[in-house]
Amino acid sequence: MRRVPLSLVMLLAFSAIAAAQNAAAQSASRQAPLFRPSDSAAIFGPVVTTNTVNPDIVVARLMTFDVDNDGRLVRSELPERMQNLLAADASGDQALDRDEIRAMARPAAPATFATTAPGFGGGGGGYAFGDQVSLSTREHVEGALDDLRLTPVAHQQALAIVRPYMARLESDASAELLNELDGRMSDVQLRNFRTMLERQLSGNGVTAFVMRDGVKVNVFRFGASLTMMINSFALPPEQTNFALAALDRFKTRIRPGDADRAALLAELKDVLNAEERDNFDAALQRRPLVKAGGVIAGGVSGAIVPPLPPPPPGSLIDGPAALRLSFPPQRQVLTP
Amino acid sequence: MKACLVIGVLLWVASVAATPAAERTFRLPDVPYQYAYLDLPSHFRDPKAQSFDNTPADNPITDAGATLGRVLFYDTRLSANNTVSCGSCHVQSHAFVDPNRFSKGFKGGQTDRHAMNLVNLRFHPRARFFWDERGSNLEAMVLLPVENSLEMGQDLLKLPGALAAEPRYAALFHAAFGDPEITTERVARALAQFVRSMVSYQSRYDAGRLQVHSSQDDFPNYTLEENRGKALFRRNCALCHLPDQDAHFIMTEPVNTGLDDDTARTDGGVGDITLKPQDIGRFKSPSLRNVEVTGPYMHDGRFPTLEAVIDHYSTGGKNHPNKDVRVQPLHFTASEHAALIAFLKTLTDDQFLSDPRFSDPFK
Repeated sequence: MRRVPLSLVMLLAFSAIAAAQNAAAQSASRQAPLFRPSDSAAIFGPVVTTNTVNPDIVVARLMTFDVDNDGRLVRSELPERMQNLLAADASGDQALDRDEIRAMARPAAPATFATTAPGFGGGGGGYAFGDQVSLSTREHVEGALDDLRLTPVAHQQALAIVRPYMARLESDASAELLNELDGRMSDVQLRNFRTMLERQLSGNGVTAFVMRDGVKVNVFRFGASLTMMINSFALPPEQTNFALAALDRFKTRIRPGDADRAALLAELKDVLNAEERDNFDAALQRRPLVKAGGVIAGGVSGAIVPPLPPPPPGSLIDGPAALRLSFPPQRQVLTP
Repeated sequence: MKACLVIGVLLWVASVAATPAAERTFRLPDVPYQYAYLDLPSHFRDPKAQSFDNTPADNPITDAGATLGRVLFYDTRLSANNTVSCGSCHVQSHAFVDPNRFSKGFKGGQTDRHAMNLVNLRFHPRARFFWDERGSNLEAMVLLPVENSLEMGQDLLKLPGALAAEPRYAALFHAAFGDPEITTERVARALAQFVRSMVSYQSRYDAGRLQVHSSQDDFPNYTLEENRGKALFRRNCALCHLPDQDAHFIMTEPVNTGLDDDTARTDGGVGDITLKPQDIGRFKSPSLRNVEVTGPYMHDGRFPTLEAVIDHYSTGGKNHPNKDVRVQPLHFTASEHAALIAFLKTLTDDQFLSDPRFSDPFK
């Protein structure tokens, strides 16, 4: 298998960011952008985030220690492990009042786009659900099958059922999506969209795994997402919204739902015993989490603004010129 | 007559309970134990795994320093009334947790959190300790229970004098630091060296990992169920508990796992130290190594068994506003449940749990 150094990949990725941003700047002077490049929600759709506790609750929470209800927390009222908080006593009265607590209870600034998108969590890349990073769910489904630790024969028999089943599921959903989009965008746009859809479902040009001593340690994303493609087509807003909604429906359809799982498990009845089917069913219902390569994923994906020109003959990845990376688009084994 | 008997028994009990520490004596091996050098397996020597090491340049582990730390760890003189030592609540056979949900302090009072395990604290890259991460490094962390008014109650200014009552400390401090002076700072450094030397790396997991090219491969020394559990762990738990390497089963950041949904009245964890709203209900997670023997589990020991812990993650916990988005209901089946626990039990390191280098020298 061909090996590509990580440094080369990163260099290419950052070159892509710079080139795409340059292209975006030139493009902006010619046409009004559909969305701001920094608006991650417009690019990626809503990012999964958690709510956080309101600062008022922090104040109320601390005031539960105010035993004498005088509105001030003195050292003896605080648990020993919290007494260092008195260092924030701005007034010098050896106590904390509500204002002093509130001053400490400010929420942190929201995490920046580059460190979390398209995942969440921050702190070095963030996390994403696998079905957000990679459009196809086949890897998750086959991984769940692998986790059953079947005999090699049973595993092959099960794969012989699972693979065509998933291919059918994706093929039907793709046909429905393309049918819905037909007439909503130009023929060239639809052709580009179809090409990228097929490549993403096949896994080509979408993800690369960094391997270390044979262990998959990270997932990087390359190439334009379908959401970004639709946004970059400069369609009228109602057409854009329709296409994005159709894409969302497609994403739901390619994840095995209740009826899909029941049908698949029925096909597997002669290969898996009842316990194995139960375990497979449970695993299919989980959304796998992956750690996203935040800067590379967010940078490459988020910088694409200009409409997609048609791919030149022989190009390896469809999409903006800046993203036509010269290394093979297939899943890579990279040596960091 | 009866009253006299009762009084007599009470006096005897009181005299036993108040036996001064000075009467306890420790024994050390003629040839000092090795602490500084560890023949760690290859998955610990991986550059990413090595980057977890928090040993500071100014306090490396030495054999003499850790030997002194071992004696201090088990010496009841570190408490105000000579009744409890660090080892009273951090029990070696339980991977240095207290098998009780809460621990008894030097006056008999109870803590409100479960004593954390001390396994592989050397490999916590953020080097922040305690459930609420208030200990900013191991050297600072080791003294907090010593001076805590409920746990050991020792006045740190009086500690050197209390230790000087044992004449053999002079030689131990001399060996560790070049002169016999006893200072609180040296106590902290020696204790930190000893705690940092507690590295568990000889479990069945480690033996299996050495026999395969990738941790994704089935381990030849595992049963089918244990390998299934490993695969389940890797897919559903490893993202948090085995981050980007194969050696350290720790979480690099404190997390709110949805243990509670009450933001105002339950333990605030890290949030009670930082007062940041997003930290309320977040807690540090200890290493999963030896997790079989470190129950009860969670910061307040609310889960008596590993089964209860798996149940928690199976249901996905409660809806605390700060709950980490990674904590999703996993709906484990009964056989997945059993496989996960079978795998977790392979993290038990019997050598570590009975290693004489970490045992009580006063026994």
